[in-house]
Amino acid sequence: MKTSRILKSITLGLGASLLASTVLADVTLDVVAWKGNEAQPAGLPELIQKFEAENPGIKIDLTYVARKDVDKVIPPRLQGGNPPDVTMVDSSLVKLWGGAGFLKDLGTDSAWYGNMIPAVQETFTIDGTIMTLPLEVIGMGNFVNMDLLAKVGIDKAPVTVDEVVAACKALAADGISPMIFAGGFPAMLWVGANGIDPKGTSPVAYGMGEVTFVDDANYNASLDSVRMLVDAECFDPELQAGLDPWSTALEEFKSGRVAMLPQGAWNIANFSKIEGLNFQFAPMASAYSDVGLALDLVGPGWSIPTDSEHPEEARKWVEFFADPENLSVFLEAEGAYSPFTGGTDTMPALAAPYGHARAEGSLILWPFSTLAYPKPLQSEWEDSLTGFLLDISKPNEDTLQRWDDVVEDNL
Amino acid sequence: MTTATDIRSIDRVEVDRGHIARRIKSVLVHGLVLFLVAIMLLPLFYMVMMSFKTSTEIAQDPLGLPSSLYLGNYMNALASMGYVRSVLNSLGITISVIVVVVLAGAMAAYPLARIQNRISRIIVMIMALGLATPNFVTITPIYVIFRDLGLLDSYVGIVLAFASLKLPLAVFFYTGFIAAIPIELEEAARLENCNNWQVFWHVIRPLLAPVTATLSLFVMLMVWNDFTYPLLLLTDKDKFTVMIAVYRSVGNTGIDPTMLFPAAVLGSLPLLILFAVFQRRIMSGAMAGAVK
Repeated sequence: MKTSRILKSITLGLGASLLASTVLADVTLDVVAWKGNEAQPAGLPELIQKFEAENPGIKIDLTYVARKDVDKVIPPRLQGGNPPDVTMVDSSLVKLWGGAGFLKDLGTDSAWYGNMIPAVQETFTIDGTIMTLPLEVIGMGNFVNMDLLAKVGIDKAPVTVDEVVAACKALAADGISPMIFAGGFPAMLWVGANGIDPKGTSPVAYGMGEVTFVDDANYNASLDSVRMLVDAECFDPELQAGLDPWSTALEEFKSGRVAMLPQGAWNIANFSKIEGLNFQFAPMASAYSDVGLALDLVGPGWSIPTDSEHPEEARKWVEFFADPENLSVFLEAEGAYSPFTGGTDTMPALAAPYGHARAEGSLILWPFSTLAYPKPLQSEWEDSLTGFLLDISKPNEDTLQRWDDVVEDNL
Repeated sequence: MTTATDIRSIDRVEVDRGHIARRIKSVLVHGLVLFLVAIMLLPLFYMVMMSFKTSTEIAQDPLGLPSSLYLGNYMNALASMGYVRSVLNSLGITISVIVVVVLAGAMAAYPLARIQNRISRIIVMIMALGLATPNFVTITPIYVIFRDLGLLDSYVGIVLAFASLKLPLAVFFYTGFIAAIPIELEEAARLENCNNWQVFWHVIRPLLAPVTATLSLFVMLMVWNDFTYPLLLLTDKDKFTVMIAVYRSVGNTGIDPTMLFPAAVLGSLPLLILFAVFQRRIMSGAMAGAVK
């Protein structure tokens, strides 16, 4: 009798403690992102702290995987049914993974869905489903060293092709390197800004093969404008073909020896760390605008894989970013705009010229980020524009036909 | 008329000329070698030099020497890397993989080298295929198999994954080497009533020392520097290797030299120390393998 009572007490005690431990147990969310590391914190460390304080019982375990490695590391986990609870995605990954049924539909009835900027909403809505909460729209434009421009009597960042040409001539005459134009990225931004007329043919028409690059007057003129920059001594094309846009080019601009660098606003934070570097972030000079053309890139978002172990907690984390106050921390660290209408503008004053072009409606969404241009075309642009810089005397057809071939291959 | 003294002086002149020519040749060869070594060491020197510069110094004079040895970059890197733990993980995983690969590779190679028939040739060919198979083909099957075996996020899992990936290389290495060992050595052992295992362990294995040194070097470098498999198979950050810690300092859209360079120095430092300590043994092993 006594023994059975003791056994009952032990069983009850064990049961109660097991129940208590289950209720109180922390859920650790496995989150994978290509931001949040030491090199690009994106405000995530403090946002994680805030989220954990607001959601006791949920811990965030953020693993950094660079964007280029996401394609290698995450698909096996998705296919193996053991994915992270939340993963960072971009438009191409949403299309690929969402199309394969690996991502959860977050529901177009979500409170934040209707608040998205229409173009971003269109990019991420696939067959009536939304599988991503977008995090940012980030600008790509021209970084301008204002001190170098001031040396040749220019006090405003150039925003038209003529202004860039004039600045190049003045800078070159004064022995200052006017521009970095590495084939891999800066050249793409110039050619895109001068090939896409915001009021003309839709980029989708090129991506669908309805309009060919080779016969397009805009893109032919765009490549001709690169020759014009060379004639104005903006840069030595062969030298630029060998420059790495993601390391050497950035260090060159940071050194304060080069006046202009077409790049993304994500560099604002790093450039701002350099003492004495007085720069502005301006829109790209374009043949189609007097105020410059803002190139907005639709950035990444959060998605919840279908086999997420903690879908409810994962949703809490994702929707935490729908709160403008939380999102603004991320945006400020990134130097980006909100993908939601009426979002807080956290851009620094040095990006005023870019903001002005946006406010004037002189804006295009970068067609590779909206998938208007097929993703493989991006690497073809990088390669062929580098080749073009190595021999700018070759006919435009040699470059533009390669783009049409890639489009045709991806139809 | 030429006298004996003249002949001796002519001989001496010729000897001197030969000596000078040899000296010049030697100086030229040594100069060339030093030049090549300097070129090879330049990236290493640049990495170390950059790691001691502030971000402003790097931006203003990327190729210049640091004005002072700024240690702040190292303090930041050490604080964010979890250095000791990640180095111990890398060491443990690398050494375990080498042990498994060397033992299993040698044991697999011995019969393949000695039994000459169609099956053994097919197996060697399959091993060669294993060498040629790109990473992205094997990565998903490995993940799914390891998930089914419950080996995800474990040291055993990551060691077995690396071992299975490097085993074809080991078998290939050892098969060629063992095939060149005279069969008479084994026959002598068999006369002493040694069985197959005893022949392998007491006769063949000791002769594999040179090739083992070379193989270990290859495997060590490959495992130490890989971060894809640890990133895929490990989720507990306490088990992460040092290369993942270095990898975190590389951004998607650029690099921060004040973070990358000290992290890279710290990441490769244990390997450099290992090489320095075992340099003589590794070199003699590699040389013995080369001249065999």
